[in-house]
Amino acid sequence: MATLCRNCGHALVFDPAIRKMHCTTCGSSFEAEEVESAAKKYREDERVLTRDEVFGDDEVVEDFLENYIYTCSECGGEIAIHGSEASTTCIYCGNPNVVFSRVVKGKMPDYIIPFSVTKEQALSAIMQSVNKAFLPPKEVKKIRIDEVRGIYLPYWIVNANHEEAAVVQTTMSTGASKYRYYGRTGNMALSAFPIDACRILSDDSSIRLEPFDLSKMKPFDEDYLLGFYSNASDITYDELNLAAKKRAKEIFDETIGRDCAGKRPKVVAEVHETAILPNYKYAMFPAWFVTFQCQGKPNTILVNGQTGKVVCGIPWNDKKFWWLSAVGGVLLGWGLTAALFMFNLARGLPATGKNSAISEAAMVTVGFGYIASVTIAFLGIMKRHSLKQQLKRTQSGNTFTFVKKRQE
Amino acid sequence: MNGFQIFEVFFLSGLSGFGIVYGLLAFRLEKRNNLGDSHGQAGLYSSSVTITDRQDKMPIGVNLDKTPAYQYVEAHAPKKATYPKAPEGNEQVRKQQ
Repeated sequence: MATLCRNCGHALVFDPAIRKMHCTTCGSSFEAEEVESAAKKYREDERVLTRDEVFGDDEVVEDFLENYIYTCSECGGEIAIHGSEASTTCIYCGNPNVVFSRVVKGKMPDYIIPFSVTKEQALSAIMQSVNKAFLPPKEVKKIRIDEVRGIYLPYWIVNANHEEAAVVQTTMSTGASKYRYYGRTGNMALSAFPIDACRILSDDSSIRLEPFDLSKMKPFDEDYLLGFYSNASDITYDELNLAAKKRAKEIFDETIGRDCAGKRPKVVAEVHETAILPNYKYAMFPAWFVTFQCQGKPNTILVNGQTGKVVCGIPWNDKKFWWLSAVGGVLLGWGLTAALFMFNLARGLPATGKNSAISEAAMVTVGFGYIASVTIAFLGIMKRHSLKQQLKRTQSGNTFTFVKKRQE
Repeated sequence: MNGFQIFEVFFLSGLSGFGIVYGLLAFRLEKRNNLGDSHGQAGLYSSSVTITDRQDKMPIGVNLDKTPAYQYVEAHAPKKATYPKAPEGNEQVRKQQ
């Protein structure tokens, strides 16, 4: 008994294109608030069973992700779900299922941001980015999307107070001393700040999906989950406090850094205190997860299900990169030297000897060129490092597992 | 200029060129292949910051342990919050009833 179409009786799913509950059989549409699953009142208290209880396994199942069995409300099939999954699709009958016991009463989220980016739009945004990628391996151009999953991620929306005393170091471009130090003490009131509440998905990944437009949050209705996967919150109070402290400190440090003269502000000493106020709210935010294989590694691309922001590091052909750098660099260096040599000859300088055409050319390409080369190469190394970090997140085994373990 | 010196010029100019091209290609690679590598900055969230004390151009010595920086943060360290706040501990976060 899923949420059924009033006209034809088939299961409804939420369609981000029209932002309504949609019947794929007869084409009818309804507002989520207008319909309610008949199964809800019968299944609110239906417990999710452990594998042990169903199969009587004596073997300890180490895999957290497949430890529970839920019965499909339509066909009665046993669906394997993990510890915090709140909605899924039955692998037998294909109907959407909400694990009511994880989203009702005391565990019911306060808000939800429904999907407004469709699966097709998400894939189109991904392919546009992939087609523009620089030096992609051949496999990326013929990318075969393995899995696409729309998943609602749990968040706690917190209000917090942050107090800090810090000393900020900045770099000065002029003056006797390279560094200056500034003491700053203050407090910050943070309102409606989202903290990721899903333990499996790394904060590094979920943070990059931001920002979400919280003004578009709606009161929670489990019908929005139909057709998508979702997770309930599974973090502890300590984890929530730690995440809030870290984020609040980042924002405060960024603000006091701008308050100091000089460049590249950096906090070198600090003491802070962050307290989350007790009026925090629970919400679900949408994200598309797309997995593909490349260079023998699993890759997961994230797409913000509200704004369409794509988050991933696209792999590249490193051999080609080094070859291009070497060949292009040599040609540039020699070409510049030869051009300057010809120019100096035209000026009337002798070809060789002291103050000759060749020695003047060498002074530019070797002397000044060396300084430019070291500076630009150093900045290039930092850019590559940043890209490698993003690629590492894209190829994270945890994120891949988070997506792949959803049954279809 | 003898042959070795000419070779040296071309070798070093080639090396300089390599560094420049490497850096430029790395910039392009990062721009095209690194998508969405940013998260919400301070301006995107509702935060009200009040700075209650400023001390500019502090005289800092080499060893931070014995410098005004350490003394400053100690002297201005915030006190633990005494107003009601969210619980702590290893229990799973639940909505406040």
